[in-house]
Amino acid sequence: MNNAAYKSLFNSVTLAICVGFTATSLAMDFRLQNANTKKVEKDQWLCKYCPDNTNSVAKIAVKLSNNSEDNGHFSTVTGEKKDGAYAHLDAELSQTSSGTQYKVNAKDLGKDNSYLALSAAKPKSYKVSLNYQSLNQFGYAQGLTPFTNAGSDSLLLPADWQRVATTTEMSNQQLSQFDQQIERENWQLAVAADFSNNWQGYIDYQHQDKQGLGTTSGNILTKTVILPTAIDQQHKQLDAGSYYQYDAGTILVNYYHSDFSNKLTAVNWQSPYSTLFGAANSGQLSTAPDNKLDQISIFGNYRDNNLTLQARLIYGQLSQTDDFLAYSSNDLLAVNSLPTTGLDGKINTFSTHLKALYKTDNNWRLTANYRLQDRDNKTQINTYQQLLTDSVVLPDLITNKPYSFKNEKLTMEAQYRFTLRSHLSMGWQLAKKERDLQDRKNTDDEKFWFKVSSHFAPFNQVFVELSKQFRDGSNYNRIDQTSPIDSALAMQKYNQADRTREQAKAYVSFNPFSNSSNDVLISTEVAIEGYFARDQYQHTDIGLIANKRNGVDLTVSSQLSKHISFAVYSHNQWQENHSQGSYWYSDIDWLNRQDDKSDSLGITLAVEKLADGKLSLGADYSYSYASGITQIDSLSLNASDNHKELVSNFQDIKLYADYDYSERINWYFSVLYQKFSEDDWRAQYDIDRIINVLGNGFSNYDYDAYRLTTAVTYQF
Amino acid sequence: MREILNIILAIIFFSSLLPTQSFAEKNTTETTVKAAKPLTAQQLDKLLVKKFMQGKYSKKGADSCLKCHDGASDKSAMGIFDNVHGRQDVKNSPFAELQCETCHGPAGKHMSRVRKGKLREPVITFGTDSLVDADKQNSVCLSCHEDRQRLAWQGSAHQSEQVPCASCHQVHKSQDPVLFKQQQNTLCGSCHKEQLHASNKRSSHPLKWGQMACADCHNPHGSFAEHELNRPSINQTCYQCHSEKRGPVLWEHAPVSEDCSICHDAHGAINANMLKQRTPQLCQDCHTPADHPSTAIAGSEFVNNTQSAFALGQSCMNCHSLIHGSNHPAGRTFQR
Repeated sequence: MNNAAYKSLFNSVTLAICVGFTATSLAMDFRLQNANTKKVEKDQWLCKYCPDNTNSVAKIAVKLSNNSEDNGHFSTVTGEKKDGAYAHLDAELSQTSSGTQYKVNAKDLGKDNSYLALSAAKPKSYKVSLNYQSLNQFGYAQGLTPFTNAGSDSLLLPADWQRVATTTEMSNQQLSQFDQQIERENWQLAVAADFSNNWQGYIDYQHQDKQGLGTTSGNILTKTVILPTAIDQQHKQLDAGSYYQYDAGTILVNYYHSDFSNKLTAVNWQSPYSTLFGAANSGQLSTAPDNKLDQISIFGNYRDNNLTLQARLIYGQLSQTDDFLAYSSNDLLAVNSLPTTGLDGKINTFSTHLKALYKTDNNWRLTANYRLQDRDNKTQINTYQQLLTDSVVLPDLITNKPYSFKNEKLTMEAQYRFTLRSHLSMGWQLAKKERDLQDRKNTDDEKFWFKVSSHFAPFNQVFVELSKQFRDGSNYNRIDQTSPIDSALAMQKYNQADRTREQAKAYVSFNPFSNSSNDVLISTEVAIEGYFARDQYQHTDIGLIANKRNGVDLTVSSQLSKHISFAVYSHNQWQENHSQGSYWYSDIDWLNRQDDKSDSLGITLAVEKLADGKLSLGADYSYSYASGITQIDSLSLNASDNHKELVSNFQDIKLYADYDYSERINWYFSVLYQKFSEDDWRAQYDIDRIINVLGNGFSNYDYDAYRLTTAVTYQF
Repeated sequence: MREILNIILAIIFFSSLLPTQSFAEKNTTETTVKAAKPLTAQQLDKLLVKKFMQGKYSKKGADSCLKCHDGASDKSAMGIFDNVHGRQDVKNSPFAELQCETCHGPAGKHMSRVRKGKLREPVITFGTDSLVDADKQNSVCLSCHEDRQRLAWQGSAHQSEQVPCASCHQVHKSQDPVLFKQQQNTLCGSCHKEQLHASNKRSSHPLKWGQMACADCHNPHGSFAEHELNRPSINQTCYQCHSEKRGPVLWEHAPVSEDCSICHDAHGAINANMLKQRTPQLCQDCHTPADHPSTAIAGSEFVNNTQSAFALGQSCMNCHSLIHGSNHPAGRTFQR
């Protein structure tokens, strides 16, 4: 070959390489906008084999269920309080007309927990939706209380109530009953509109009502009574904004407003105990005050082939302007006037998030991420008298502490994608926290991690992830409120303490049978995951000194045949917490160890297309077991004592059948059986179990229950 | 004589045209057609990019595809017609654009007869089993769905872990299962096993029965907050439903204002109220002044006497009930 020929060849090769690289960089992805449609001729694209799009769908399912139990736990699971039979309705309606789709989706209308969604949407034009959801948390039924008017803001004893010293003497007196229940009703109206191809606007308004009856406790000196208190709260949220999409990115501006209001400003109660050493015979408890949050945020991002930049800034303010209650409802106490009529609380918040992501052509991805959260509490500081439970005025004055926090987190990560779905990542993170008015002004938490994830025969996926964190900070100066003794042993609160944290996780999945050509065991995957995490706290003699969490998960999922699928998972977890204490402050004189074990198991079987393709059957089983042991070792007494073991154990099984009787009629049947038991000695709230806490008679749940459901769906 | 010679020559000539098999049977060497090796991911990527650049779309659009991918097929595509993606009358839907090839790219020779020993020319496929790079799969979906809900997708946890959209979403079904709360929770739990296990614990948010969903707190498409939370911080996410604890209040409990997860595990715990540790030891990890906070609260010896209130019921909160903070002038110890 002569020189001219070589030159020509070289030029051709060079051109080919350039075109190849250029082509690669031009077609880095398969976005529709990048498609080469010059040669498309759609005249012959008749879609003859496409089924007709249905313009309207109307399906109504009438359901009948029967619950065997109405206890709070089972009612929360089923979403319905009453036992016995009840009817509820599902509906799915949709209509498409002139490109606009109207939809109604309803689930379990008629039940205590239900859902309704209405929407109208025209793609690239607008969407309006109205959603309603009710969510109930049922508690204990038939709780006992000495008060005749459970839920009132002024709880009254019966006229003939005998005030006595201990709860042991109260059990013979007349007690009333009440049921615990909290209902949340959520309404949401969302409107989004496309003003042009690039510019959209939206408003999202949510209104939540939370009502019901809960419990809290009120004490006068050392005597406590459980108070059945009403809950009547509202939370309104408004999210409104606009965003503009340009070729290389998006700009978004958003305003968020949240308004919480509480109709209950205080709970007053008459003490059922005899008056102790001149203590009050009634008390007043404050409730959560109204509060508001306003935030403005601006977001922008920029993207080209290799570089993505994102920035978000959020300015906000929290405010609370409720009037204070009086120092005490006990007029016999000599108190000064309050320094101010109300808190007039104000907290300025500022958040920012900056992210840069750079992808190189040789499969490296470099990410830098910076987050800042600043909570600057501008609430005024004043001096207040100290009162003890409406009974005693203490001599020292105290000032309030409006806590401020500042968190900064810088994360850098490098990831190398060495082959398909395989990557190697390593990263570093520095988290700096600043706290005002607390024990430790600054903490720095540095983290290093490494992860490798890959797919290589015979495994579907293997990954190993390791990380280590080191936390230290400025001098720890204990504050009097939580640890006033100068000569006490060192204590660092665990959220501020010097700490080393180690974490490891490993995962492997594989197909034990590779048999995609047969009709049996079409695909089976086995996945095993194990994890370990350990925190060790340094320079702290008392408080939390170590905790550990380990677990292992095994999952097997299989497509046994074309229409039979099966899955089983089991998860075992162990947790330990170790802390030390001191009553005498010169030595560590007691140790605490909490050992928790939890296991869960789930099995799912589904069989489809039986009986000429009309019948599907399924079974879901789940089991969960947990135990918690608290061991206290008293070093000074050289003795060990355990709290009674906490044990919870529940299993449920759901069997269902789904049959297409005809093209329009479907029949569904299911049975859910649940066996639940918990043994938590703390939760035994017998009236007189604790001599100075008047309980409400609630106890642990222990039941067998079932729910039968049958439904007929008709498609119009 | 001449005629006989011509006949003999003709016989010899025509016999040479007979199949040689019968003469060569004993000497036959068998040849078989080897199955083609499947493409590696790199080879597939190169081919699909080339096809995408060339833009050789099918002659008849979806009709070309549905000849094979009809309702009777193992890889039926028919479910798409029951949702918006399969509607031609919806502006900008895939079927209003390039039909199947909007997402699966130009068909090229995908429909052509496949010779023995060769593989069918591939098209873009989706899901965890696809050999197509996840970012490239996702670029198809993001052509239309790069909107307000997916602003933070680039650099998000799922994007960094190369999770394809199709590993969670099913476009060829009439209703995408992930949009239903219970199915969503099961799907998230298939990878996030520790969180699935936590949701089965005695005290947890009502995820197991589909009354809440993972997406009520997290944005799986990415967010600007840690852990891909919906609101800028852990606390602000909790305040969406628990706004009564937001404050500000006169007497704040510092760890409450700082971070709810100092005491609670939002995914579930074996202790009541989703607490990470049982009381009173949880409180004693930070509180050690004189008298009762620093006392070892052991087991049986403290039942049925005045100190059992420390161990039983709400423990420390039998008296300090307003543990999330109090707005009462006399509420410094959270008893008012």
